[in-house]
Amino acid sequence: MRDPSEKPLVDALRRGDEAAFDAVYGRYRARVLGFLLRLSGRRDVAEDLFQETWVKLARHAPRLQEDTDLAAWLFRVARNAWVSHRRWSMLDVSRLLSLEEESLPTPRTSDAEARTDAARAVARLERAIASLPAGSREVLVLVGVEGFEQEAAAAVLGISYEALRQRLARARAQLAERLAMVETKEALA
Amino acid sequence: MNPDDLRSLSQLPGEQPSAELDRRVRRAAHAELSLAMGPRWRVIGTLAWTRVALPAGIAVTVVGYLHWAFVAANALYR
Repeated sequence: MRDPSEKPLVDALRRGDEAAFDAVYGRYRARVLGFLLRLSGRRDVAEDLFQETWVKLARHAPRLQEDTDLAAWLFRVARNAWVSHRRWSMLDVSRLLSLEEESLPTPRTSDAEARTDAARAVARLERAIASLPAGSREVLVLVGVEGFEQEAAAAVLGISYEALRQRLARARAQLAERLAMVETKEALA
Repeated sequence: MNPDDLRSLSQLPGEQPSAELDRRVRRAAHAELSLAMGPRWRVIGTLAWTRVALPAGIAVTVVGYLHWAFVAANALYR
């Protein structure tokens, strides 16, 4: 659901106001970058797609609809940029060289943080999410991490509400399975 | 952590961009914003130059060079 406090921001963006752009950027930058990092599993790729997303917002600012939901718009563009990147990277030979690196989970907690139980649980969850198939990962991150309503998440992903519900149920089951695997590995280590 | 409880996922933190990335993104976006808000002819002109004229010029140059190289190499063996 759209945040009503965004209307003045959208209006100002449509007029090309740089301060409005900075306000939107400040509001969503951490969420968009976190989303792209979780989707791609690679910082260099996530940062490129992050820049592409914000440049697209600037390019389309004058043509935004008055009732644009900025969060949904940004996440849709970020997700489409990632899908497009994945298609192109299938043709990229250098990707084969970094395949092993890409498949590694990406815990983003420091050693100091990992000492606490809560941080360890977060790191476990990050590892489990990173090991999910791309389709499950994106739906879980949108609904679970980013807090999108299911209807809004379906719109971001360009699928029907029913398809999203099915995908979400499958993703939850896979996450439970992967979490159990991660916990077993940790217990054995 | 119960994986059936999606709220547990909302504890996961966002990721603040580095200062360098922040600067790079803002600079690129501000430039794009001022271009997008400029006169229509300038937007169309820039798009025509960067997406049509320049790529077409490069393609013609490359094909022309390859054609010349092929003809020149053939002439050597005649």
